[in-house]
Amino acid sequence: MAKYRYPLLIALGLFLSLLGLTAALKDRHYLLLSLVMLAAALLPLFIRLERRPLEARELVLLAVLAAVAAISRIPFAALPNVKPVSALVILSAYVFGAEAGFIIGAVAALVSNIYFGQGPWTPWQMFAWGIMGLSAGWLRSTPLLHSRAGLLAFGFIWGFLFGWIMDIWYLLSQPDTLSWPLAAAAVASSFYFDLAHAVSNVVFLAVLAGGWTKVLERFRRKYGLLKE
Amino acid sequence: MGIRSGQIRYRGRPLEALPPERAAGEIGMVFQNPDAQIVMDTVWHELAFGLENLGYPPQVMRSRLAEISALFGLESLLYHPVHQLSGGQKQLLNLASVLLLQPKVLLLDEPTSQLDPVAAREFIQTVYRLSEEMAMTVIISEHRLEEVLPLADRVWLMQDGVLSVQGTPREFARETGKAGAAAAGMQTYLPAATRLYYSLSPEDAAAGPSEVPLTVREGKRWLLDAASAGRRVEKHPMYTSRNKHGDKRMNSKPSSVETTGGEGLLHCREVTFRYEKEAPDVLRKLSLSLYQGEWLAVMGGNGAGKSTLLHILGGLEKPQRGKLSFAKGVRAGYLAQNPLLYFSQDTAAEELGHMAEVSGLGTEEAAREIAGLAETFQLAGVLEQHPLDLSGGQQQKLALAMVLLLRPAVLLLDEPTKGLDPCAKERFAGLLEDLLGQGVSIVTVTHDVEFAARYATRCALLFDGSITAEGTPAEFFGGNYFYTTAVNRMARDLLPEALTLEDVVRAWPNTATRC
Amino acid sequence: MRGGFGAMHPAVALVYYMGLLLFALLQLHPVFVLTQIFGLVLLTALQGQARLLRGILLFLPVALSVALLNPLFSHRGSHILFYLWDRQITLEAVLYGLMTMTLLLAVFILFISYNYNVTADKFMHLFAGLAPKTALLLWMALRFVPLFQRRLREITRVQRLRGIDVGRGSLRKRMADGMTLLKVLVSWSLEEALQTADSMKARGYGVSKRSSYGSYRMDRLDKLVLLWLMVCACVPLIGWFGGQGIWEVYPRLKPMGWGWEEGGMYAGLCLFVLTAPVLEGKEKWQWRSSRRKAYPSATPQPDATRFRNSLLR
Repeated sequence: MAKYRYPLLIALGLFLSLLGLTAALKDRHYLLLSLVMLAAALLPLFIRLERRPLEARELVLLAVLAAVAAISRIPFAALPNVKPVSALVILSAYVFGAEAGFIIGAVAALVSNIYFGQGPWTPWQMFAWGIMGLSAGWLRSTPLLHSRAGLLAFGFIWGFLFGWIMDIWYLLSQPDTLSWPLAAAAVASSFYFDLAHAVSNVVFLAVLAGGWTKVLERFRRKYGLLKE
Repeated sequence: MGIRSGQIRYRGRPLEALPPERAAGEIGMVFQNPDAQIVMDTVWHELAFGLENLGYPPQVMRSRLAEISALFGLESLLYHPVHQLSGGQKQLLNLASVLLLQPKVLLLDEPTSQLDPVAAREFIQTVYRLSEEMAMTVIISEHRLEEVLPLADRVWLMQDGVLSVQGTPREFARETGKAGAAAAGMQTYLPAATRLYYSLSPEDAAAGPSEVPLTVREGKRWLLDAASAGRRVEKHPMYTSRNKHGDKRMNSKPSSVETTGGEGLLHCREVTFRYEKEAPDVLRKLSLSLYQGEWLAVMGGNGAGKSTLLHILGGLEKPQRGKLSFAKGVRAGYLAQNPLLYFSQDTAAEELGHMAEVSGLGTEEAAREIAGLAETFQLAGVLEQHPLDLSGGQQQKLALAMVLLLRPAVLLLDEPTKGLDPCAKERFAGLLEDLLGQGVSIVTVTHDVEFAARYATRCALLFDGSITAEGTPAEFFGGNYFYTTAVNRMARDLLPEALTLEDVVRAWPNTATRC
Repeated sequence: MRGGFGAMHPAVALVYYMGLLLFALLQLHPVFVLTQIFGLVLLTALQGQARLLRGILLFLPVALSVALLNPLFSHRGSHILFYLWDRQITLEAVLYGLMTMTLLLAVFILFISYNYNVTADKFMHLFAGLAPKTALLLWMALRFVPLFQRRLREITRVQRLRGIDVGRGSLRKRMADGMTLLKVLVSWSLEEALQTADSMKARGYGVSKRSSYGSYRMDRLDKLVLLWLMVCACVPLIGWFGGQGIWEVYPRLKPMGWGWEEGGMYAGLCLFVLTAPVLEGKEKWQWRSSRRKAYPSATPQPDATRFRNSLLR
């Protein structure tokens, strides 16, 4: 069984992409195709994780940060719509780099969904938080993220981007009406959620960027973790 | 990272030359903290972790898992999530998952320091059985020697990075015992029987090593022999001492609760508590009072609800039923087991400053107070360091200093001696006694029988959700058969109320005149 | 331990749910989708978890909004029902909206059932063989979650003494306090994580390629059911490629003909969908009958959880 695992998997992947492509061309059913594409986007980064030699300390660090991000909404249970996951992912990526940021974001999404229930949104969340971490890691050495205003703006923009990515699967489930007006309607309907997300990102990053990066930097220095 | 010189050899080969898979397989290691070592989420998976790392095929893993589960009786726990296990179970799991790799050498780094005495004993016995039955080499670093010392073949004493004593347990006991005043600190590491032997008859130190008692059994036999050899023991009254602790004990300690002179600081009346609606009661109709100037030690088994009781007394949890009342103006300060819970700032000074702010102290007053505390707790030199970079003992003192800034009249301490070595324990107890002298009353919950017997003014037993026995240490432990100090178990036939070494020494006429 | 479908090999459950998801995403005929919903509800009810279905209420707004928005935004179709704000509302668009709603509901119910049957353990078992390092990372994160929850409770309790309390103060202060709690948690946990790393190294992490233990073994029934599911799934898929089994709504409503092809497809789908409930039902029935006959003296088991923790000591 194990011997055939990879060939089987590749065959399955090809089959699904074919199916998704056919569905998209034939009836404009993009949902399946979008899932296949999502998988294709996430796969290389996870393959890199598999390939790269990873110290035990680095692995534990990633697991700790992902788990903390996954449960980070618990202290804020009293405050609806305040979820610090994004802020934590951005800060972790800021300190530990793009790859770590991606892994922490994607794994945090997966883990929190394993605990709080999987749904069709799982891959999208993994994608959104993963890319959020990735982009924060890429930009961390640019002047943009080094200035306080830049960091806050980054958090604000990602609040909306995240919401829009999460709107995609909802939009794609209605291929018939897929149009700019519908997209606008979806964006408008989630506007307040996204705004709350964006604003809370800004508040978290503004109040705590200092304290958190100090804690994480301290660990990075002390144990020489995840040097890129 | 540090610099190393010299060479470590394993089976004649330098350690560096050992292939990593052989090193991982043949040298197993168990660390202090039971929680931190666990990697996986369920028991079976944690067990399999090491085997997976070394790439064993599933059939081999299966049979090894079966073997080890049977040996450790883990079958019923195999599919449990690890977070449901108790500390002792976790540590046994850690041991089992190391043993699965069939190591030839087992390294144990203070494996029982975070465990309660029952779990610690079980762990040590398991290790002993393994070393006997499997002829496995075991190297254990430990400062709780009561259990370990008699079982060891060889003992090394490390002092300031230097190997200062080595030999068989009896040789070690003799060396350390006769070292005299210079090594007085080291004597606290010896088992009670040995310490009793040396404090009663220093001139016998010249005797052969075979005579030095190590266990309670040997100690008791020696004591009875010595007593019948002509040294008459005055049974009562036993306390006629110049000892510091003894003085305090005799003068200030009430013989029972009713005769207490101090005024009541806090009263618990029929408190009932559970964590969740469906959960069983942790505390059930518990009544307890604390009086001015007391040091109350609450004892009890694992999971008896000792920590919960402290949470209730400290106002961290509200009981569902019953009443908790404080005397006017009395505040309680709570020190948790783990000092890390308290730290959220970047330096120790900031921690203290923040706490002073919360406590509502003025700037000058705060500065004075902090300086005073830093002085008493020997923290002045490390105030600018990150709290997490301090040593465990310093962290504990820092947390205590933070709690004291709240100016509590009652100090609630959760297992304050856990993980401390005997010297640190004594120093910490000294600090607490000073606080007691300044009028702070203390409640500790602890597993540490010796500590409670030596320092507390009153002991209480928490069992099945309420206080089932209380009294002065002498009353409390004197009546117990198992749950009492090692000294008491040795000396009870002669001196039923003697709990500590000092008690025995005082009642032992020959010694009293000699020292 | 659960019997029946819940106790099958994870691969069986995964193929089952993936198949169902695939059928839903291919937007087969509504009757097909309704059959899926029926099968899943039946399975959930047989497993005694009917209350889980209440979770669907959470998703109802999303599903309803699709049904509502579609006719408002799509004006294709030839049967005009009425005009709203000068836009035509067509029967086709309404039906299409309803169809999409049903489909979304099917997906949501599918996930409710999935979350119950495919526990993290099973999911990871399948995953571990493919991506050992990612799987290890996930396991560790999963192990940390309950540990961190407990630590967070302790931290919250103690930090409240310092005035750090998410339940009190201005919104900004509460958010800052929440983050402080998380900061304490992360400092503490990273500190301990170094010991975790040491313990991993001591047990040979990284010295060779990891194998995976896996507590699930595929038995004959698992293999049989797996084969059966695949064969059943092929029928509707082949039909779909041939353009069958689809309810054409646009450009104009065209009821699907129920020829032998569609009949075959539907039969295949029914057999696929009903596999799980049948397995579950069989198990249930077995126990019902055997409890009466075989073990007359069986006494009801008291709740063992209270004693569980004391087993080892």
